[in-house]
Amino acid sequence: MVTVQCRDLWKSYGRTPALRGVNLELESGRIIGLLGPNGSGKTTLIKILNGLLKPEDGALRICGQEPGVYTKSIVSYLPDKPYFSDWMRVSDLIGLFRDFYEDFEEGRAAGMCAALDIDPRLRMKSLSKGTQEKVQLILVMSRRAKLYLLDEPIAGVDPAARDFILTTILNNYNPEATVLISTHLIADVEKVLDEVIFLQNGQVLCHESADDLREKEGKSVDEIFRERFRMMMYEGGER
Amino acid sequence: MRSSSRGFIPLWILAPSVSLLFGLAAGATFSDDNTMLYGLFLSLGGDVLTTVVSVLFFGILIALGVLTLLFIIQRFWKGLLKEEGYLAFTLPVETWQLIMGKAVSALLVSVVSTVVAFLSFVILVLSMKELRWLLSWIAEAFRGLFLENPAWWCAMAVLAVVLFLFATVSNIYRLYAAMALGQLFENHRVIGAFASYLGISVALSALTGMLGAIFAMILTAFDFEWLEALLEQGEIFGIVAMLALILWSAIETAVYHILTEWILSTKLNLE
Repeated sequence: MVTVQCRDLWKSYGRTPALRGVNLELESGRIIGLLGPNGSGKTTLIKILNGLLKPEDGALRICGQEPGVYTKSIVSYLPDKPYFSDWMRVSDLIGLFRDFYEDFEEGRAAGMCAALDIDPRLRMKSLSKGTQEKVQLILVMSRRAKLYLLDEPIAGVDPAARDFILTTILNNYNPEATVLISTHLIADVEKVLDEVIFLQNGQVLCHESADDLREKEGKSVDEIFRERFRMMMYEGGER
Repeated sequence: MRSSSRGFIPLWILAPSVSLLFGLAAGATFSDDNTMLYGLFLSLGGDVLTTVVSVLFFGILIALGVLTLLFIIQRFWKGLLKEEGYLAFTLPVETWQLIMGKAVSALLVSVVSTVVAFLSFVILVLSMKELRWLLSWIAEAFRGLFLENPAWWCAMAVLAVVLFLFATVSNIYRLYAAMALGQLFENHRVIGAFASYLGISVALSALTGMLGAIFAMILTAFDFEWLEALLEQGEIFGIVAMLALILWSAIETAVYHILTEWILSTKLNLE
């Protein structure tokens, strides 16, 4: 089943183009890496998919629907920054997700908090940055969503925390859903990816199965990525 | 709402308490009545105490007003236009529901703050022997007028409350519209919001001035006997004027809401 269908998506910030005619089709049951250097349009694409931004042109369907209230109820989004109020306790956030998302499994969230020794009565501001990120990930992965959008989930955390994040994603995502992970730290995530999308200057350079790509090129996705983007820089392409 | 309003609770309790203290302190300074409480105030130094408590009283009232305004601005700015917006705008609800949610909490805090300020004033007057006559004079005057035409006074009282609520909501929404416009100014959002608020206020003044002039011109150009008759009947005119002001506030609110919702739905630019 097709979860995401993008047709010729365009988006710019003022005069700076962020997406330039993106065409994509993402199937359910796949973990997909949205890979590209900084400023390639990864976050913009994710923000369009979750309804935070509106494209200037093009068509977008999430499970056959245009972005709106329904698609927000089936999309689970992890932003690249904390999005909770300081005063909130972990239990407040769990309550908020329970109230707004029908697909939220409170028991799963409580179990993950207990496993990590996170006391739900604690205020978010009293937690370390790493623990705050873990709480946010727990909330996002405790939903039985149809599309998970994870924006830079492993950026800025230590290698041990990266392993925890990837394990949490793998152990908790809805297997019938699509998981889109945006990152530029490819070596750490490539082992979990079914497909990869290379994004450069707001355009899709490549969308292939990770295994096929590795087999075809005889290299890891990380090496292919480094090679392609390094080559573009030497050729004088935009970064 | 829950957390931010928590900060108001001490002020909401403090304001009437200090007004009571102020009343007693002032009473102690000026009164010959040497009751035990007044005596205590006098022994503590009546003049100094009156000054301290009066500064405190007016300080708290000002703080109440400023904090209410800051609450309205901060809950919208932080809750929808900064990081928290990432959570708010990905919840499965319509944008108008998010805006209305903020407006309802802002209205609640504004109403409670106004009621507290009013109560503080009443407590102050009641606790100062020298001012009690003022309250009884107002009550007497109103009683006399009320008995003359109770139905009209009841209607005016209800309309006054409705107008207060509508005017408060339209002022809240004017701030929201200005902030929504401000976030379009990429790197100068705060300045953009200030400029937008000023721009809206100037445009509104110009519009009301223009409408007033047009209305006056129509009145002088044509002979509206029914309108003149209406103006002569003060009571009906009062009701019509109140209804017109309520309608104006409602229209203003609707315009601000539509503008805010359109910007946040189509031009959202979270930091």
